[in-house]
Amino acid sequence: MFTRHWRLSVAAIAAALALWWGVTKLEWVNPLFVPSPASVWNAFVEICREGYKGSSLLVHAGASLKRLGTAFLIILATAIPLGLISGFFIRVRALVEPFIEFYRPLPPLAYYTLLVLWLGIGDSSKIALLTLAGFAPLYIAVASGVVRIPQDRINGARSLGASRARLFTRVIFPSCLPDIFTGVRTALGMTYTTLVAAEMVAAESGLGWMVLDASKFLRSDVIFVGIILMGVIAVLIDLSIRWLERSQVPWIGKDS
Amino acid sequence: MTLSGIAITMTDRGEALASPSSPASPPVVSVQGVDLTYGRGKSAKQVLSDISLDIGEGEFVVALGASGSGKTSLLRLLAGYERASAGRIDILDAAAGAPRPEVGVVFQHANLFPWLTIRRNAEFGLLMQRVGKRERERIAAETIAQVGLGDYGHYLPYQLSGGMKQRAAIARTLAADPRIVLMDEPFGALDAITREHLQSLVKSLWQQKRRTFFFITHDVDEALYLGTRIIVLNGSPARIGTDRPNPLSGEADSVTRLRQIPGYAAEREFLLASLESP
Repeated sequence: MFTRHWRLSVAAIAAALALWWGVTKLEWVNPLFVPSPASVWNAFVEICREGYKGSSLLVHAGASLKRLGTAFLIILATAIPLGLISGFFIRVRALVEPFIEFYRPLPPLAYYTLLVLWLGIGDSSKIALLTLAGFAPLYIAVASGVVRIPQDRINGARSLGASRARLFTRVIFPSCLPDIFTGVRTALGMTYTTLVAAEMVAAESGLGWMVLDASKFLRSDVIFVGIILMGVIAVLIDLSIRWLERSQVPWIGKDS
Repeated sequence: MTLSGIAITMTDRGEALASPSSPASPPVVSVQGVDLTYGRGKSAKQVLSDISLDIGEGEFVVALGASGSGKTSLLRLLAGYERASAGRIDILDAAAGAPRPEVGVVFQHANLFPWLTIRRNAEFGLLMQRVGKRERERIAAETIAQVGLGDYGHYLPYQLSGGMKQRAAIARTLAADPRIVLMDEPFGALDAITREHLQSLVKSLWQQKRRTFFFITHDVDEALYLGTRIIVLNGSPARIGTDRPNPLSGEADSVTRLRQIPGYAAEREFLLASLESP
């Protein structure tokens, strides 16, 4: 999205909106299933102005983003160092990997009940769930990134006098930056989908909760507002990571 | 018959020419009866057999061998990336076995740090040796200028051509001021014109820095142009088949000129023959 052919992308979006408008204008489907763009817009304005069920839209979005952000900070602070270490030391990898390989394919909601039992119904169980969901993809990307570093690069650094510790901070970590970015994007996708699911189980705020609650009252306009908002936020987050990647790691995939 | 006759006169002349290390000073590199075997049991493969080699301070030793002849393995032993299966290697009076900043390495591929500018790449070794910032920047700028990249210090490696990257790699190694410089076919992947420029660069750097160079190649002309002494690796496992001073050392200021020297053809014939002997 938004590459060289961004005009095509914009045209496609415009066409989809036009189709939506046309279908609802001609009343081909029951507005209960597909509300018109105008009523979705009105619902958006109404929620912005008056909030939804006592909390403003900002509070809902903020609650979601706070959970996401906290979980993501924990993921960055744990998955990257552990990935670097276990990529470098085969024994650490042998120690850690069985557990990660076991829980990684499990659907997060399968163990969510346990987390709620252990940590309560508040934010901490949700943050733990999101952390677990995003940890594995980032850890695996970083660990396999370390394995792929050319041996000559490490040898060259040692010949220039790099100690073990500085090898990690000055050579191995920057070498893995491309893999870290890839892992971050995958992990964000995982945590984001899990976030919405988590808010649907036990919560009283957040965009996921708002969508679920609206569906109880057949407010399809509010459901549409929530879904569009979730999608737009995800695209914005991904775009900013890609911008960061392009500006910080311009050498990705190029010969050195 | 004529061939060996010429070779002997060449050797005589060569010995008279090449005496960079006085017999009194101990060798900086001493290799005694070294074997190297990769793997164990059935899959074991011996690549080097009974290698013995002393290198004096300031020599430019070129190791000549066909591809797969084990010459890179020999360099990796000297660099400390690999341990000998038998025998003994001493470098600057200490047993080899781990990489160290006194022994610099230039690889076949430039192998620069892609996230650092050329200047920061050149500073890397000094940074690891805890040289102060100002001194570091001064030495790096000076070395980059010496290899002809004075205007490219702020570029990232991917923005440079293959030949320029290799220049930067040489600068990175030399800026750390190693006493021994190991080069593993550094120009193998470059076009002929670029290669000739870089050969002249390496030779002038050797003359300026007065360091010990150990250079690997499969190119006979490169060996004859650069080396003060040439060793030939052949056989499988490889051993040193020929080890003698280069009679053409210092006779020409480029490989093209070298080819016009009277003794060149015979010397080339001799080295090609010893490369092919089993």
